[in-house]
Amino acid sequence: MKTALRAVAALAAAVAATVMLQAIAPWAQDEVDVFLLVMVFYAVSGGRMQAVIMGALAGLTQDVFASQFLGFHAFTKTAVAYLVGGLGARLMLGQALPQFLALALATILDGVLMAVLASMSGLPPRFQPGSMFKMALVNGFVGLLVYGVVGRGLPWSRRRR
Amino acid sequence: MSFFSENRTPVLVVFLLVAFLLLLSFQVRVPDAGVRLHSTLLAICSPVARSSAGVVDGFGSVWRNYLYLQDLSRENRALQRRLVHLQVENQLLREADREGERLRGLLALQDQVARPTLAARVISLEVEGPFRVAVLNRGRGSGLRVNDGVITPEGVVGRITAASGRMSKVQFITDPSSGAAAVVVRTRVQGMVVGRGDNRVEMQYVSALADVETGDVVTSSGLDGIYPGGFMVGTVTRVGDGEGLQKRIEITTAVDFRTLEEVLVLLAGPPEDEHEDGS
Repeated sequence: MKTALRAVAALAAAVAATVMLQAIAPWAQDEVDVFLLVMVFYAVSGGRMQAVIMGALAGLTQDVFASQFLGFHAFTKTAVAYLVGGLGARLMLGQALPQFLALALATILDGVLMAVLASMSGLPPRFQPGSMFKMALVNGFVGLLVYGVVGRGLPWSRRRR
Repeated sequence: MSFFSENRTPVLVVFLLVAFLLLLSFQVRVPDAGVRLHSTLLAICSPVARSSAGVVDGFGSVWRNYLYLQDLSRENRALQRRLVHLQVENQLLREADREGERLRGLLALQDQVARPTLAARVISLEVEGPFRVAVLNRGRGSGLRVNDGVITPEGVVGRITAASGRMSKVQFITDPSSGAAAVVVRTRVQGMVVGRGDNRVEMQYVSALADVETGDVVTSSGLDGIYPGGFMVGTVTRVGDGEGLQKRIEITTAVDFRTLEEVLVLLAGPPEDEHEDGS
């Protein structure tokens, strides 16, 4: 029950952050994927199963705000959560550098999967490596900042493996 | 049994991925059900999204109203709203004027009457990924319906594709799955404007013999029943050979979708609920 409430709170925070970013710094919406930060947070701090479920829910929520079809981001986030969750289970991702790399890797994987899924769906594939790497860097830095704040403020967020 | 208990996570991942693929294909096959599902999820997210927008508005409002030129700010916003309405009205009148000249005043005056509009704020915007969509802070409760057109003083923005009670989603004309009937103002050549997935649109179904040049202005034609005729779509930036006997016409949109903050929704019918939610 507690886990479910935490997940809902994390998703609500992601929605709130998305809306606030749009109002305060609209340009940042292209650079920061808030839902990816939530998903990777679960992947590095929770179990693989939690990461997958959170990835699916975060993706579905992102679809409500940023997609014409439900299931698009949910698909990519679920797959990325599984892969990054696998890394989290095998490697020590408690430190800043590995977390940064996990965030950057997740961003790139998400972008590649989106391009593949878009081309499979008959949508124009928009694979832009430059902006994807830029987004990976920004997500990495912002993610570390957010994880630092959340990790200090919320005892439940500590590594539980 | 042991296989599933030992491989719970991979099984769950495969199940979810297949389920999402089926969901995607279901929405393509049954668009109405997709719209309903989308609207339901929009309604679930609505309280958090609207509260967040309210918090931001609240802080912004405090800054504007109490710390920085209180009266001037209020008056300025009122004038900006008025300006938006007047600019839209101006576009309608200009098109009506052109139409009147062409048809020597034979058309009835009723064609010049504007449809009722509703101002809405953009609370989420997607212009980078494969989709071009935005979420507005107004929904069915304010009178919006699916397929209502959305415009700004600069021109056509898109149409409502999902609406909950208090929020709605707009598909931009630049979205690859969008389409709008359009006309080249100079020569009255008609066609269909389709999004390309970037920030440009393409005019399709235009004969290779049609008279279209770079720099021509393209407006909505009104034939699709979503956008009234005369609203600016954009300017032709490239004309080339298309498939078969058709021209390939690239249009740069008049609206800058990256900086979209407020829009006007062209209402199709009377509101379900007259209660305004104050945003």
